[in-house]
Amino acid sequence: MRACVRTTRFTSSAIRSGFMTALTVVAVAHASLVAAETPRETAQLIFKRLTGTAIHLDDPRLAQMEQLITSGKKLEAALVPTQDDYFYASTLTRFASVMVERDESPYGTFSDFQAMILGAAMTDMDARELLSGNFSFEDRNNSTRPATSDTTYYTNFASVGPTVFKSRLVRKTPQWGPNSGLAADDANIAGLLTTRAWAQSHMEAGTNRRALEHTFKIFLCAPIESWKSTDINEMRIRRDVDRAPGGNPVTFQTLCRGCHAPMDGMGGAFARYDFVGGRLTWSGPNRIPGKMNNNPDTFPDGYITIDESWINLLADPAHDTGRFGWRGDTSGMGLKSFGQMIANSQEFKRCMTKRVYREVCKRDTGANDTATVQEIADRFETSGYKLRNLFADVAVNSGCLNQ
Amino acid sequence: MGKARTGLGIALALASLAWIPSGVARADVTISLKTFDQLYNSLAVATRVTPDTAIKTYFDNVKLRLPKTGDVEEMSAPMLTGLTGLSGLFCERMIANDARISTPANRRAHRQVDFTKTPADMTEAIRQSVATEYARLFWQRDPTAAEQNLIVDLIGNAITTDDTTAAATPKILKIACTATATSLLAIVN
Repeated sequence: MRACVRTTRFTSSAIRSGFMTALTVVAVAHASLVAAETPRETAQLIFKRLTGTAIHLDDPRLAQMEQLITSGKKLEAALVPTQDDYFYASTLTRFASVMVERDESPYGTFSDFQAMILGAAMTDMDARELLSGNFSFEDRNNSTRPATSDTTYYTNFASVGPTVFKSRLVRKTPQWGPNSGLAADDANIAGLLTTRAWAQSHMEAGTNRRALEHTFKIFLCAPIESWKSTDINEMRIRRDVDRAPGGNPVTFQTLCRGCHAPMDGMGGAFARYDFVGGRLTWSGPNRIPGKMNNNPDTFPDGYITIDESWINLLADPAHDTGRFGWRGDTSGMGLKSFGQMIANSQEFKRCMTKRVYREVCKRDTGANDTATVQEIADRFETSGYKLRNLFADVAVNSGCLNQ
Repeated sequence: MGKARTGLGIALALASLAWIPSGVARADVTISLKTFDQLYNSLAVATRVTPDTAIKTYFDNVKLRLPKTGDVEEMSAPMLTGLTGLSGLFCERMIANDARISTPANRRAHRQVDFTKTPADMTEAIRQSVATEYARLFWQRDPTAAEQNLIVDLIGNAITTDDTTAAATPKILKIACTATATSLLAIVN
């Protein structure tokens, strides 16, 4: 038994009723509920954290994991539950739902976005491809490929049951088949960013700025409040942004510009996409959807979107704080190169680590976890960005195991 | 119907089971709960019951009352009552399945239970074996003596004099099963 006493969220803020008080007493007195002391308990806890279900005492995998843990091979032990059906049907499905739903809800219906994340984990592919690859994961037993308007393909697939994901998800290329209704060229296909579910959440109506904003929020764990900067050149801010809201140009310079300068600089990557009438659409190489050049009279001298070019003004040496750790091109044409920039950044691997930590350990990482996050993120990169390894690595972390 | 068969009775029973000492005292841990889907899947795995339409419908109705993120603050009375109902359905199906299996060794639990006999025919030894089987299913370990006694007592208290037929046996077992499946040990992540 360790001497240290860490005040948890549980004990610090949950004591609001007699019931919770009782529960707190229970938890403090009997914390072995979630703290593993023996190799067997460690195996059970790792399995439960990764699958959300308990492993039966007679399950031979328990003995296998126990043996591996006893041999000092904790990570190998944690890879065992990443082969379990519920790792896909529950853990990864919910993990992906939070990433794609506009309100980050875990209740989302199964979609092409979720299938892609499950497939990436299952096949141990480089997770960076999730933001630039031209592929999808579909039902092995269904020769008809989904259209961009299809709302039932994936929900029907998932309704088969928890075993269907591992047994029937298969990678198909290109991401959108010839009858899908979408004929974007390869430079404009970007994995998760060109899934129907992502488009439905972030490209319907509006100006596609939401898609850009959420790309940063979801894949770099960077809400716009954390990366806005009024020092950034306003050259790419579009015509629909009033330069003197309420007649006051200072408002634009001190508020609006902070978000729009970096955001509109990169927004061109999504320029040819829209989500109209329940369908993901690509405008073709010679046209830009009207939403990208809305309200031109608000500030006629603003930037006019004429193509899918984008530039990351946050990477400008004058403004780069080093936070994102950009690597490679920071400007380009089309969504694929933009996705590559995001996935190749140092922050992507850290963000994925934090997301997995939240999912597996059921708590957010904090300032005290910075070094741990960096270490796990570095191993994620070294492992070839394998999602299964990342989940396993997080699950065996002592902070997650309460050890 | 005896008081232990009511929702309150089950809630009290599971609360009792929740604070059974079982290991080393530790205060340096973070407690979290299973999320809505994890609770559902855990019940399916533990009972080896494939959810039917009634279970799926019930789950859809209570889903929003079950933990969304697993934060311990999501523990609430509505959450527990919703989970109790859900556990009850899974337990009911598991017990019915086991009752149909004539070779006791092939059952998920209830290997010493004779479903053709009345609840009163369940001896102390049979009740203890049921308690052990439920603990292994939902807690993945053997119960302590105190835990086993609580479950055995729960079964005893649930047996009433107004239903002395063999048909009452699954009902009594359902109460004990539900209480175990809804205990704190079974719902923490």
